[in-house]
Amino acid sequence: MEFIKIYIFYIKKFFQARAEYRLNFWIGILANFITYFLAYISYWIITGQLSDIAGWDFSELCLLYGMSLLTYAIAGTLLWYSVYNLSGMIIRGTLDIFLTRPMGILRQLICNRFGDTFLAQIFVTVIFIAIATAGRLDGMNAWKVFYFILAVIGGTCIQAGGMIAIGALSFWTMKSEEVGDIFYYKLRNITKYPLGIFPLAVQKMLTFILPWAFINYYPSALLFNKAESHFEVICGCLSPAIGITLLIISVKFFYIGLRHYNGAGS
Amino acid sequence: MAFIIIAFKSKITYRSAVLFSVIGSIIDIFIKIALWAYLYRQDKGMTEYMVMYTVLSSMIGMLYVNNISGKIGDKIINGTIAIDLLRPMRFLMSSYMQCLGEMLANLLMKGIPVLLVFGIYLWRYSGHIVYAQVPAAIVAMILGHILYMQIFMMIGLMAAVFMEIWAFHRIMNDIILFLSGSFIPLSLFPDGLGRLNSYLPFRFLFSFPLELLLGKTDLVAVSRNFVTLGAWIVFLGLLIWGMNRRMMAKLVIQGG
Amino acid sequence: MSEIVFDNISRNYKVSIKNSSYLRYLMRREYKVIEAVKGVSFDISHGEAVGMIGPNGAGKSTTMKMMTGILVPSSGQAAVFGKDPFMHRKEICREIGVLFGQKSQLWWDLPAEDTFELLKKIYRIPDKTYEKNIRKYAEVLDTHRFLGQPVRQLSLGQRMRLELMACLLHDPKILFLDEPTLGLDVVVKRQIRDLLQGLKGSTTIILTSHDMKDIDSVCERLIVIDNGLKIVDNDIEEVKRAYGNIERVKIKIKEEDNVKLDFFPETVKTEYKDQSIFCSYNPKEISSADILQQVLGHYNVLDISIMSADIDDIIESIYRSEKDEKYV
Repeated sequence: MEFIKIYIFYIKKFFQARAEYRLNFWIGILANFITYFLAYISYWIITGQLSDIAGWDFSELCLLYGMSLLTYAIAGTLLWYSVYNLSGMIIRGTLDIFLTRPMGILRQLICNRFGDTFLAQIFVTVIFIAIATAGRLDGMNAWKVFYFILAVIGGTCIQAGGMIAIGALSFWTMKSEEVGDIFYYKLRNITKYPLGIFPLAVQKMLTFILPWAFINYYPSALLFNKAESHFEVICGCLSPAIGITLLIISVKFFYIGLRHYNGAGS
Repeated sequence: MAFIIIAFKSKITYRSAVLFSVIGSIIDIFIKIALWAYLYRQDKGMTEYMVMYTVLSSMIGMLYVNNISGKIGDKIINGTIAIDLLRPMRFLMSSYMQCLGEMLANLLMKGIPVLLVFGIYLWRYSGHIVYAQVPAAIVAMILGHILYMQIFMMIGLMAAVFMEIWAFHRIMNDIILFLSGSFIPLSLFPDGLGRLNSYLPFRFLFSFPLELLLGKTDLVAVSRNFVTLGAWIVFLGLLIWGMNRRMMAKLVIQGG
Repeated sequence: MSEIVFDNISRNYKVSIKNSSYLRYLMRREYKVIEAVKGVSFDISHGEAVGMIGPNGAGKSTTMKMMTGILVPSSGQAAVFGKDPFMHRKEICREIGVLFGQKSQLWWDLPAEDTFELLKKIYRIPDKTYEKNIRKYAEVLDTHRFLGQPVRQLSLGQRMRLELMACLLHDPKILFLDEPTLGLDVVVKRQIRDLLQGLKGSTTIILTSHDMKDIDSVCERLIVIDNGLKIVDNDIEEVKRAYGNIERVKIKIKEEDNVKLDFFPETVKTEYKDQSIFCSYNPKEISSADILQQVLGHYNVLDISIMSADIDDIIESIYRSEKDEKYV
């Protein structure tokens, strides 16, 4: 597809330009690496000194958190700098420029800034997921691998959808970042741990209202046969489909916002 | 002094930002409480202890506002430090005063709502608090605040060499959150890590005051810790003084 | 056939009024409706060079944004190449080039030549056209030397020339320019004006500027927008003639320290600069001979010359007279 060619070309040029700031790039990677490395170590300490968390051991927790982080990092690499900070672009007038070019706005946003700092998170996660699955190779089979890939794609769609939706809020209010901080970051943090340790109300919220549980919990539960009910099994199976659906809804929401911008600006 | 008031006022006006920040903190605390409640579900005493630990830890966290590194860093990069070069202590102090103002505003606007929400726990489980050690804990917190500020002042001063310090700030922040016991009590750390950590100053930021508040410790151990804390503060103070002098010399040579 | 048609275009937008009480602000939003553009109509044919001017906040930028599909009119019909610019945004974008003086087209971290290559892909510019245009415009605008430097290292003048190149690479049929010369030095302004003059006839040019010399040197037609209304739409020469009730005379006098010019009647605008008195006046009210006589009565006159109407004066008088009259 033409857009993919343009994007690849942009990434090449981006890294060429970035080469001047090689040191800063690597320090940034290091900072991100340490942050998430410590997060995994926290799980290790807790499961080592105390007990499993709702029956999930260290390697299972690694996958649980890993899916959340991996999908976040992939979505972030594509979109975060442009979409999450959309309000900045609106103020600077960059969005108007995009409107005068013959390319879809979301595509232009993706090509505007490559989220290089997220690469560290992908790196850390790959390491820990490798550690996690190393001890569990017996349960593996082709279906599980295939499902895992689908679940990651679905999860990435949900993450991207979340970022796009929060960014789209900028079309109506300047407070999008604060709202996003709560609904996207803080509440999504709950999925760091297996849903079982939270009250039922919280579990329901993360399933039906803010569907963050579909990013990592239901797929992981399915992969490790930890689903606690038929309902959870169904959720697990449906996760990729739900992910794609949510992304589509989010994109539609974005374009509604854009239309509002065209109608309400000055 | 004026710095404190100005910074305080400017923070107070961002009402919606504060509201969201409060909600965010409350959610974070709830997540941690849920985790500990599960892990210690067999042991009621420990559950209560960890709830107290988490809530108090979060309150202590409000004493630590770390954007002094940003403030100092910006001043160095913008060159506005040239004006303050005549009296170097003044430049550090004024940045500090601004942070102090922001911290007080933060305490007021965030601390009170959080206290209201979790006050029930604090009241119900107050049996865990060792009242005799509270004054010592308060002293520890004040010293911890100084230590924290010193650490981030140093990071700010590094801007003279590194230009972009956001990475160092971020790394230090995360390491502190982890090694200081703000989330996981240090007693849970495996031996090797625990021993390494005892050589570092970070435990004084959270673990030490929390231990004082929540667990009886004997006088000898407490005094020893205070001495170590004092030594760290003096050590860092000297480091900062040294860094300051080198930076000034460097800037003067380069002509600002 | 007209290329751009605006038929009775109006544009309103809502601005929320902040109440003193935060609580009330949360409960009930109060709005004020601002009419940025009220019933503006015009036709522009291909190849015309139109200057659009007006005081700050008059609605020029809003009008331009409606022409480029960024904003939607609240009422009225807009058509560019016969189609609605908003509904057919992507198609129309291929044929237009837009330069906003205060916003940047170029990727900040990349050298300009990389931005150009990206644009080549986005606009699907054929290789030959691309090479030809880069060569041509880099020549005219003298940008060869810094095409390979990251944009953030460049001065405003260099950047603006590159921005202009960026809009022209795909051979647009219409070129929209919003304050392209803001903050630029005389040399760069001249280069840009020369380039635009070269494009006249083959490319439609819509130009907004606060520097009247830009408009005067490039455009043949003038549209004046004030307060959301179109108050002038005519050839520039016609406007000068119609509103050209301003003459300017330059009287060189012997060097004096304290030059007082209060003996002139109020309707004469005066200025003392470089040892000369400049007067702008309405020749129907007072003649150049009278002016000269006044000056002779007070100072030693060395030389006198009569200058043609300065377009700044004309525009100023349009803004002022519009307050009393209606349209032209």
